[in-house]
Amino acid sequence: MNLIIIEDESIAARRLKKMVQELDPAFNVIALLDSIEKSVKWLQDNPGPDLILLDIELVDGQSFEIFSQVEVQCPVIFTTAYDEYAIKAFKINSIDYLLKPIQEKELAQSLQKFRNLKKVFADKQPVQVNFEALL
Amino acid sequence: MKKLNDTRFRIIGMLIQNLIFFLFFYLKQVVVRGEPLWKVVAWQVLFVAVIWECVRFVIRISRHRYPGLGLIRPRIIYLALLLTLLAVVVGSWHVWMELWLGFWLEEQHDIYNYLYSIGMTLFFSQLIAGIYEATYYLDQWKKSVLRTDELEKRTLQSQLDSLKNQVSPHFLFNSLNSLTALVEEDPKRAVRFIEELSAIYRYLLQSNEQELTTLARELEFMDAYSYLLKTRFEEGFSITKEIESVHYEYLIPPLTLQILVENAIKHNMVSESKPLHIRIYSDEANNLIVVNNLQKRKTYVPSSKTGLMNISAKYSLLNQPPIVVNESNSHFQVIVPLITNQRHELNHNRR
Repeated sequence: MNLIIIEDESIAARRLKKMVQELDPAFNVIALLDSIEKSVKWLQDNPGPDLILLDIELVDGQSFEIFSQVEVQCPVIFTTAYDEYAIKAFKINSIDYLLKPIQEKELAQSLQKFRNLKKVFADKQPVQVNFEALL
Repeated sequence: MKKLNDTRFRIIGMLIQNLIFFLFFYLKQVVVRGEPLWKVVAWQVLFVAVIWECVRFVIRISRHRYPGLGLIRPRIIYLALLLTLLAVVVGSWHVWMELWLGFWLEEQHDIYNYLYSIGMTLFFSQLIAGIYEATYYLDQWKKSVLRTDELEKRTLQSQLDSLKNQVSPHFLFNSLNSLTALVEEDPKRAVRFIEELSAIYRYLLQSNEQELTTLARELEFMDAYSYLLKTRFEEGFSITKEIESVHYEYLIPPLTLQILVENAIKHNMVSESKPLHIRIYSDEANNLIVVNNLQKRKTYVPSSKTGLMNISAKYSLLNQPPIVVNESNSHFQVIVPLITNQRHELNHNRR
């Protein structure tokens, strides 16, 4: 599973990466990005990741901007020190909203939630495939 | 003049005084001299009522003229004078009335009757006035304590508000987040980070009580503050200070620098590819200047201008020259006048 981390403080980004890898080695952190500009470019140039860990206040603005510039299919886990954006975050494919300082336990729960949701959708997938095959 | 609101006190007080008068002064008139009971009682009720009403009137005049806790001395003196005058008039009237009522024989009538009567009236009117004054004083005192409490509460509230506004809570949470990373990565730096963080919060709490602080202390605080920012943003943030040492003892409202630096970070991009440089220096005209390269964030940052407005407001409250804000295409600059000790005291006294 490919994951990208968008976070403007590199020390915080490094810790997130480390935590994710320790919690579940199946996750592959393929990019660390710190601005809207870089994130948009990366998302345009690369195949979509499976999950995004996303900070809200980035170097060049708020990360909500990314979603207006590029279409993002995958789920998002928000990580931020601000609790006032939860409603706004809800409108995007967010599956969780983690407040800084990020607790390992909470991150573990979010990742579990992601796996559960993925499983639900994966289970439905064959039905759709069969349906198409029948046609 | 205000009403006294003393109905209960007045009725009970008059009853007690009547009782005292009857037992100690008028019982003799009924038992020994055989005066009719109704006549004696009617007279003493009238007399007591006259004393009370006169005293109440005098109390009301004195409170109207010298109200409140602060004017207690002039009020008491004024009250004493009026009460003496009252005692002479009412006391004399008392003797005259009793003569007319036939409680005294003509041949007993001399100056000592008057002195006795005036003395008695003075004694009772002072007693009554004393109780009124004591309750009034107590009441005023209670009110003033409540007012002081209220004022203290408000001051505390406003201090708390300014504390909350001065340093956004996100600063704390972001710092704690960096700290958790640092603890694993570099425990030594984490320890230093904690030390600086606590220095920052100690300064925040202390400085709130002061109007002004020295530039030296403010710069010391900036060292701790910029250490934290440097840890968080690494190469994305730098700060240089070029302050003439003569300016170290000049004064400045606390947290002015912090507000300016926080503003710069809030409105500008801070990253390794687009580093933010802040330069703090002083000039010959005793100004402190904070300048940063302008690289505004693309998305609109809601700005209430509270930070700059707070600084401006403080300067005008302190009767100091205003701060100057300059914005060019490439730089943002704020010029803050440094305050000398004399200038501050002078302006303080003038207020």
